[in-house]
Amino acid sequence: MGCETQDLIHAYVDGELDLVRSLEVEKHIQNCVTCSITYKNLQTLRSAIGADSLYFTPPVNLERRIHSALRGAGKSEVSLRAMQWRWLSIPISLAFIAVMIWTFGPILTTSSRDHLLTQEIISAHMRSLMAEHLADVSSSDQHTVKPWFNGRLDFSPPVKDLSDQGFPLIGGRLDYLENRPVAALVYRHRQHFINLFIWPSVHGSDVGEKTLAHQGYNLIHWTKSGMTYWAVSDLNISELQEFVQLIQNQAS
Amino acid sequence: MRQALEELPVESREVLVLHEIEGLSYKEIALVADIPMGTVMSRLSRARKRLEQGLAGRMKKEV
Repeated sequence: MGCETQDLIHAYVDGELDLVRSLEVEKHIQNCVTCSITYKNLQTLRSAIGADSLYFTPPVNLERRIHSALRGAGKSEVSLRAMQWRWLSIPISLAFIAVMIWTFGPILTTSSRDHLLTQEIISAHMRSLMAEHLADVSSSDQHTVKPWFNGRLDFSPPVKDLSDQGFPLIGGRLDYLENRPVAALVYRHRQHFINLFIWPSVHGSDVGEKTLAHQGYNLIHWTKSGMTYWAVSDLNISELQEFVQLIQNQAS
Repeated sequence: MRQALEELPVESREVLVLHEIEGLSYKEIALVADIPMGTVMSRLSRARKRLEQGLAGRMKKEV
């Protein structure tokens, strides 16, 4: 007489079932004669396989014999000339690796840094929306928001209300990016929020706008007058570019 | 036991040796033998039944 659980007994004995299923089978075996016999037979078979030393262990000196045979064969084939070239290939390889690192290393480092920063910026933007913590200081008055950063940051971010242009300032808050506290200015355009992150640039020189799209968000970043700016929003790219243009005009 | 194992079809012997002697899990066997997990389970259960029958047959002959 068959039992549905029969198929699971092998997996149960082999410890391949999840905890809940394993407990169910264990309970079932106690009450089902067929499954109980299968379980016992399986246990006996497994211990018989285990007891019989079926695992073939090679003779102790086999490894040594193979190595010495290989060495012998190698010596007769490799000429002295080839050996000289082989030694020369090591410094050539090292030089090639050094050149590759020298050439591509900075590029890779910069791109991976930008990627990490993009992730950080999007996370900060999403966090500010999810936690309903858009602003530490809620005001559309730039003369309230700008002084609020005094004493909280080691720089003074440029703050300008753009209500007349359709991008009212909502407020400002402190955030943390690239291992340093940064200023986050929050603007609104219709129902969309824009986070504008500002912090002093490490390199100093101006860098033109770069546009990115990631996880459904648009990002524009640039460096101007010693400050790095990152604008992020779910706003379409052309309106975000318009916003960036306004910010750049008021900063200059 | 060794002879009973050798008499098994290669497919059955493969999963049995990998599981019982090499100690591989179903997932690892599926990866090594390039077969689905379900096939590992069914082959292993079939292999054990065959091995059991083979051993029982040998014991009868000896008696």
